[in-house]
Amino acid sequence: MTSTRETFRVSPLSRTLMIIEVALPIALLLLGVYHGFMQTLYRAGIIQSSSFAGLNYYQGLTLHGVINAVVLTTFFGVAFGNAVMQYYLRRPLIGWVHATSTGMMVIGTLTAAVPMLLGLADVLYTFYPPLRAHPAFYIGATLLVVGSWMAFWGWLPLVREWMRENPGQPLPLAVTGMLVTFIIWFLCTIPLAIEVLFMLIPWSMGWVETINIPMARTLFWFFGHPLVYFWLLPAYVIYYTILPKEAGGKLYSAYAARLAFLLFLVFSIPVGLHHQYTEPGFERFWKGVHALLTFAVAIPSFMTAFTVAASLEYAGVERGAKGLFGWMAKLPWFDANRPIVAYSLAGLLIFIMGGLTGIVNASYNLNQTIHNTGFISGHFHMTVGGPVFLIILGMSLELFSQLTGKPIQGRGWNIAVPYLWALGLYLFSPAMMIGGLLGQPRRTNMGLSYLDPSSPHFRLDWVVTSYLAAIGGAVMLLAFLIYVGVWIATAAAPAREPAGELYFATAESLHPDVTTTSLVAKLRPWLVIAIILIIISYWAPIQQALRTSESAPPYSPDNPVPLVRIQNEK
Amino acid sequence: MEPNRKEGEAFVPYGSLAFFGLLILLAILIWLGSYLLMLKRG
Amino acid sequence: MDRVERITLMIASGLLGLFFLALLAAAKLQGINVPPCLPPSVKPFSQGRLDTLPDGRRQLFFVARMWRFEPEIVEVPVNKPVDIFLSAADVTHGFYLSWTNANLMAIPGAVNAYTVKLEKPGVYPIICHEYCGSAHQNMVAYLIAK
Repeated sequence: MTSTRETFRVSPLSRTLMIIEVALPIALLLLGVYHGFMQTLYRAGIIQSSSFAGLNYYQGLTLHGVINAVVLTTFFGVAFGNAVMQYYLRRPLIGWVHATSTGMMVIGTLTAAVPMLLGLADVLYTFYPPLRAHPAFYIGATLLVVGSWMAFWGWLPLVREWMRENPGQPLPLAVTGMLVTFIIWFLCTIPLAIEVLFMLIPWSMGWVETINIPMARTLFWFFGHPLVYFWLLPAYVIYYTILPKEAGGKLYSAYAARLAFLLFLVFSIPVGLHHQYTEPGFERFWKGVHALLTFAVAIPSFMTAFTVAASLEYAGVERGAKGLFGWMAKLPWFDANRPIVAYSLAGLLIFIMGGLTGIVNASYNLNQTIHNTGFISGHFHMTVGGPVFLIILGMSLELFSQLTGKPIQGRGWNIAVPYLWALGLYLFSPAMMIGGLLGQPRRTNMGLSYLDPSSPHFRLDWVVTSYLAAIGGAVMLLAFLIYVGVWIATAAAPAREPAGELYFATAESLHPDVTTTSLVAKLRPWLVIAIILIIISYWAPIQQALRTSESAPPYSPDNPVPLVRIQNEK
Repeated sequence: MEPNRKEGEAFVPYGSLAFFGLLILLAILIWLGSYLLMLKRG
Repeated sequence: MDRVERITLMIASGLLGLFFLALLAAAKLQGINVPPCLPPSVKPFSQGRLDTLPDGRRQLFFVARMWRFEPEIVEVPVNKPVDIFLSAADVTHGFYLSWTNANLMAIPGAVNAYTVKLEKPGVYPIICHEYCGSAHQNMVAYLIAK
């Protein structure tokens, strides 16, 4: 096998930087996952306190969201993108760009971590004003994002060179997928940058006194939903390119895969108002427009479900499967030498429920039934906490192993991780969702009130679901600890292979791939449509947000008196 | 590409089509359940 | 594109189209909708109160502040429409009238609105479901339907 596989040797500088890119967020995850589990204990009333071991519930919730959903995903997107560009374009990254990008991301993460750990930024990962965090929190987040932009800009000359040298060939599918991922990321972080640079930082510094809340929220969700696709699309790249090959088959149709990525480019941004259905100040018509566009962005996910299934069916048939569903049994679910298959398939099992419950959230007035309840947390733990998280774990370990030349240790334990995680999630998420339908709020330290039998607000009807969620949380924590054990054992083992040799198994397409003349082989026309749709869908809502009559001074999360007044009285 | 095309045309993913049908059915169940709850609470 | 993929694409689009029509039907026929956009002339208010209009319709003005709703306990009749108006006095809060579709955000600078008709007598907790600071979990009010 090793004789035929074509690898790419990474430069020593890029090798070191990429090891940091995959290892740093996994180390931070210890804190992020720890508090995920702790939240289930607080929420079940097993802990009835505002803090535990020096960490406040809402401080931990901020760490959980920022580390797991922003730091981990951004670092992984960049690390995996770096690997994909080098491997498929067969070119080294530009050294100084790579170093600057990783440097900014690391410094930004550490800068934001300090106020979070000191309890000066208990504002959750959505940092809704007028709750105010220490300016270092916003500045750190900005550096992280700009560092990821640098990585993306550094890929573009490589892509252009490759296209010049390979006329008549469409870009490799994985490269297209990662480019689409980062085009979406770049477009959607522009409104975020506007919110942070022109609204939040001047206001948190005290240079301006008040802030327009509906505008800040609109800019946040302009970013906040495409963010979901920034998380998800690297996983889709792996589902379309690596998984079919490792499962022993081919990609059913590269055309459909490319079309799916392009539809994400078009539809993933003009949908943010579906997070603001229950807010005042926006006309119903525009909420409806965003609802329709959110339904449209479900279509490439349905396409992916079919195309990936067909690719896996082909693999199963190649392995001698018979009957309508025989292929499922023939897949290498438990092949310890192909851990990415286990991580991918467990992720898909979770994503079935994650995707379908997402349609409920998107459904305009149906959102009235579930908005901000546990249903939402239950849902997105089956997307970002399911396929996204598992693919990040599986691929980060794989990249770490390739970059260090150390074979993965504890291979049997490694493939147990995704299935154990899936089991925990199938306890946690349904419990959260049913709890949500019973009225449980998300983001709430319920152990201090609703789940405290001595409180006047005690809710007996929430006990069962809260405990089930805690049991699920414990199983997920166990899965993660096993993963950390595998990682440590791998890091401690001696290198047996040359370090820095990248290799991705890549499925060929069963149906012929596109030619360069095909519309699906181009990016630019789709990008134009995306930008037009963004302008149409956001023009009016932004006007409506700007109409807000009053703006708000900053507040500390533990004091009902605005900070400006506190300062004036001093 | 030629042998690919032949192979591609010979293989029809009936199993995945059935799987997709089940997925649609599940989507209807989950969505309709929430929809009816909304109507009941309306 | 492959024929089978075209079929699945059409099935998925058709399904989502049907869902969307059903949602519009619920909005038009049942009146279950997302909150409306009140004209900018409706200014945020800072005191909670219950008004009874001449036709018996109730108008309930809620102020959400760190960390209580005002009014904290309020009584309304069953089977009569109640217009809820919601204002935020400091930071962003949530407002969820348990077991109903009255699920709103209280946003500084704008007034939110929703109309409910409670059919069953009982005590309905109103829960703040948006993080609003350290005592967020204690922010509850009660609506009593009689």
